Amino acid sequence: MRRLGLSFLVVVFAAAAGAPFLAPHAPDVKFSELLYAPPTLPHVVDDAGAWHAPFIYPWRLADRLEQRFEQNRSTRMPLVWLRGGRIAQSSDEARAPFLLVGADGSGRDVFARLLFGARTSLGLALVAALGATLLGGLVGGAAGYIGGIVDEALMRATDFVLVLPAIYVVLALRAVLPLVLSSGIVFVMLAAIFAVVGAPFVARGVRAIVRSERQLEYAVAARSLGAGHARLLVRHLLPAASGYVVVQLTVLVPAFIVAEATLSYVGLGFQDPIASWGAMLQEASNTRALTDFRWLLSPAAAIFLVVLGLNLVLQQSGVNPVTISSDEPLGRLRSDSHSL
Amino acid sequence: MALVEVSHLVKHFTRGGGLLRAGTTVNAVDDVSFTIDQGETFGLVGESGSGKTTTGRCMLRLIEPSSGQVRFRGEDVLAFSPRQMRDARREMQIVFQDPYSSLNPRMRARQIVEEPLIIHRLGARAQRRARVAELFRLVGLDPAHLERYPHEFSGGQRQRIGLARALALNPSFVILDEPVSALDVSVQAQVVNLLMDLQRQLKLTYLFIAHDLRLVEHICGRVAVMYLGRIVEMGPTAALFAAPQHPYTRALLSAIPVPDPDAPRQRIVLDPALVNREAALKEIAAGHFAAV
Repeated sequence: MRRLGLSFLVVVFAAAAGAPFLAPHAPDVKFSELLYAPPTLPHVVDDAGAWHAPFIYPWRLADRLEQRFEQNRSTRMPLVWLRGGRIAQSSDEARAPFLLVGADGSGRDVFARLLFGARTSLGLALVAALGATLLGGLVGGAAGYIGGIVDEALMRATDFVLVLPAIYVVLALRAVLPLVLSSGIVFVMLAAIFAVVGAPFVARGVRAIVRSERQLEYAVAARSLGAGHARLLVRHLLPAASGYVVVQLTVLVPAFIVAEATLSYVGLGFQDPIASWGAMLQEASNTRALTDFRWLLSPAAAIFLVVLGLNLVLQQSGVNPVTISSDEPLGRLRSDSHSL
Repeated sequence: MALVEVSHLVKHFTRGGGLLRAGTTVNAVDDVSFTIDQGETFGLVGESGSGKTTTGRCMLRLIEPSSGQVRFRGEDVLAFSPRQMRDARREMQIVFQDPYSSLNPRMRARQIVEEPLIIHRLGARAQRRARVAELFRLVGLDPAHLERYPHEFSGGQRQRIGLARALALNPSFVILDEPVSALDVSVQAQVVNLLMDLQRQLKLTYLFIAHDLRLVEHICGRVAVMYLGRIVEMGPTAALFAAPQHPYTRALLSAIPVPDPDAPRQRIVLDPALVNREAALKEIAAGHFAAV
């Protein structure tokens, strides 16, 4: 199962990395005649039953009101390979583009946007999730280790962040910034906001684990060997929280992908020409997407794939060898009953 | 000359209490004094909660004592700076009671035994590895198992790992905090024999904390009996076992199981009214003190 998850992730990350090569078009090229055009799937057999090199049938607008397309079965558009640094394109890109996953409401290639959107969405979610675990681990670790007033202050601060209505805070934050921001600044801003909002969840768990682990004899043993605070925390106590942190990562990454979608919707996330999965899903948030333009929901499938892959990989990554030991809970019980 | 000298050691814990209400104070260790000579095995016995583990941990400053003095080779351990304390830890080590929780479950046996060498920056990587293998053989473990995790060892083997870790720094004084009480009886004997062998081989001084009196009788030269945070009786093991003076010692000794089921048993039950909490230790015979 771990291999399967890993292969999902490899596929998605390779697709994101190779986006300029794999996508037939740039993500912001608009085909104004092909708004909501369905996918042009490659064929190898024509209606007469003859075999050809892979080709597509171009779309013809059948009904402008309903935005209904029909295949023009009389014309074959052969695919050309490795032209202009792209793996596959149709032979006449201007009139009959190769749209593997269809076009969106502006006539842009959904496949290209999916690939380039992966860079924005995954990049943001990963950076933000790492930031959140780092910040949360630091705060939780310090609170659990030092205890007393520091613990109290840090945990009340995280409680404060938890009770803040996140969306309004983001709105307020966005309001004080200039109307138009470069995508780079938006990325950093969103990552920082997500990290701060996500950190309390991590901090709470890490604090609890560090606090209970430091009472155990192996932590006392490390002190008796002369281990300093940093070593005790980094080498012994925080690794105890690693399993928890990994689980939090798998929860935070998809949450952040969705959060980016929400923020993009209210105009606080990435602005239109920039492709991101969240922004794409937001465009698909009407009933017609479910009935007539189902390919617009492809970012949801991509998110599903990433989350599933992450879970499969991390679940069995062996971060915590204790989980395979059946006698460990018994050991814990013993230590409880014998402690002074 | 005494290697370790503990005088008037006190540790009280405050329990409960909040912003407005003062908590109740528990005297875990209440004015404890004793000395341990070079090369001897000094026993510290008493029931659970009598303060013997706290005493041991206070001596290594794993718990900071409330007051009192701990002298090691004449130097006041409690006055040491953090750096001096770190150096002192090379000389004073501890083996814990619970072989399950005293080893970090996420570290391999090699890493566990190597850690003290890394902390004290002893030797390069290759030398440390060699030393770890040597320690493994010293405590009777197979160096082929160096890369295993603690849960892959039995209780006795784990305790040997804990021992190897404590011996890594070549200490002269080792506190054995109930080192075998969590083990099976058959394994207990093996570990106890190992401890005695190592003591001869490495010229170690032991503070042996236990509640198993037969074990104490077997390995300790002198013994102190703790009751409710105080030492109530102290003396050479043979004398103390032969002629216990304090009512608590008598009760404790009468509780030793006898291997003969037909032997007449006289269980003495301690009457707390008989114990004078304020009595000071008095020398009853040569080196034999009792608080009666």
